[in-house]
Amino acid sequence: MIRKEWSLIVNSLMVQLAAGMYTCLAVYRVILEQQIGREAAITLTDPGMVMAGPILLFGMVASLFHLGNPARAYRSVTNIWTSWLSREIFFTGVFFVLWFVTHVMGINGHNHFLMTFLTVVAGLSAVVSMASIYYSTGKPGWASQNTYTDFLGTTVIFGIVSATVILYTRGAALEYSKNGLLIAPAILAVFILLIRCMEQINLMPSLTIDDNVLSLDNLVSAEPMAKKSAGMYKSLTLWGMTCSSIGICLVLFMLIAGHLIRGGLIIIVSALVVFMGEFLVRSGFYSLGQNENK
Amino acid sequence: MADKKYVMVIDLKLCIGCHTCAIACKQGNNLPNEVWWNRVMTFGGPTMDTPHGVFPNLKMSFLTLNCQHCDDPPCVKACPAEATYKREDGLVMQDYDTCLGCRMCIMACPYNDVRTYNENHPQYYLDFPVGDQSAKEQQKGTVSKCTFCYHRLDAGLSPNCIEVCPVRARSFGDIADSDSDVSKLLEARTHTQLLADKGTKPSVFYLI
Repeated sequence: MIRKEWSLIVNSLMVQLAAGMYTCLAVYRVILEQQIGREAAITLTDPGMVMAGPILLFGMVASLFHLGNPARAYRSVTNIWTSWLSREIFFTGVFFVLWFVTHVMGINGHNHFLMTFLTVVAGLSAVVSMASIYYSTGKPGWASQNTYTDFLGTTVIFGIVSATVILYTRGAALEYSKNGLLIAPAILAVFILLIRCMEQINLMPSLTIDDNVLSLDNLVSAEPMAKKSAGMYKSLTLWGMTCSSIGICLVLFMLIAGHLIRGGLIIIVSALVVFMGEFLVRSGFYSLGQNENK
Repeated sequence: MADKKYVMVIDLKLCIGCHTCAIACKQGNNLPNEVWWNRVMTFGGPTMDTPHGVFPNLKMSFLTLNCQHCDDPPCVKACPAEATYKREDGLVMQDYDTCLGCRMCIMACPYNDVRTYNENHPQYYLDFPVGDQSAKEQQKGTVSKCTFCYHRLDAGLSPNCIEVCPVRARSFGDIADSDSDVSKLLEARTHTQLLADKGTKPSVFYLI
């Protein structure tokens, strides 16, 4: 069932990785500028901010595989006034264009805070629009606060973890972790994961199937169909949250005890475990929308 | 056309679950294999003709379901390409020539299985098209659904399902015209709309 939605899973994760990574590194850049100077801050954060573009492009290309007619994709922004999908595609496109312009300006030595800020706003707007697509469907599991917590939570977690990996592998993490620059965000990532777990505890009981109630509405509603996927949703979410927790805790451990164990490879593996966890959680999320005609 | 507001009225007390409406729809619109725009369901379960209740007190009740052509259609709002649109006479239409195949309309619709996504090239049991020549051809990678047989309405005819119902359980007409059959039926009989709490104001009424 999940195979059908692979393009959406990849698209949503890539857009959130790009937005999170870019936003987090932009924040780090501003903070580091005060501590180590502008040039050094740019040198440390630039590789990650540059990587956000290709990651975003990969996600955008993956989304084309979801369409029945990819050649008509250019029409997808025509209904921006009412369609959240149109808005998401619009903001994703703006995010990419701004990233490109900011990158080209950076190559020429013109790093403008305003351009970086606008790029961050466009990226986060794309994520919010993406979550709103599912929230507005009214389907169980999607039309809940959990959708926003999940999508924005993944964005922040991806941002913190990927930025940590980039700074860590560039040898900067140990030095700056002493002043809490990287430890505090890692603790924030753990906190966000806890909030998401609590949201799931609230949400899962509402997905219980009640086939015994006989009514016209139950017969025709798309909701009971979605609830049939609840078992798969619960299983994938549980495994995904577990993987994410292990990965984030490992990242945090490496930041705290990194001076004892110098392991760039361990932190990369931890990030991959987080990514795997988020992939499973997102697969569970999309399983709720499955029916035989989709 | 602007003053008209088409609605469908289905009498659940008269419906005998013969599936003639579903077949007429499929044949008249030349729908591909496995594609049904109009379905007949029973209360007892998803399998055809399943009674409900506890033996020996079983009862057979039927419900036909097609696109509800809502007054406030979430599918129209959700479509990113304006391929799903609403005509002035109330019909919710799907333009196959602009449809991206993103299936947002399916996700946004509160009703189950009133739309079909043609994932592959439409396949037919027969080598030649059947039904109305004016029915629009299905396309690969697009979503299709009941159109209230707009091509027949534009020619002054009723939808296929209305014409064939052997017990005359189905009526169709202009609710804006107080002398129409549908207006009189809705005035005289107790009726309901499916998932009315969703606020989409469906144009299909069920007499109960």
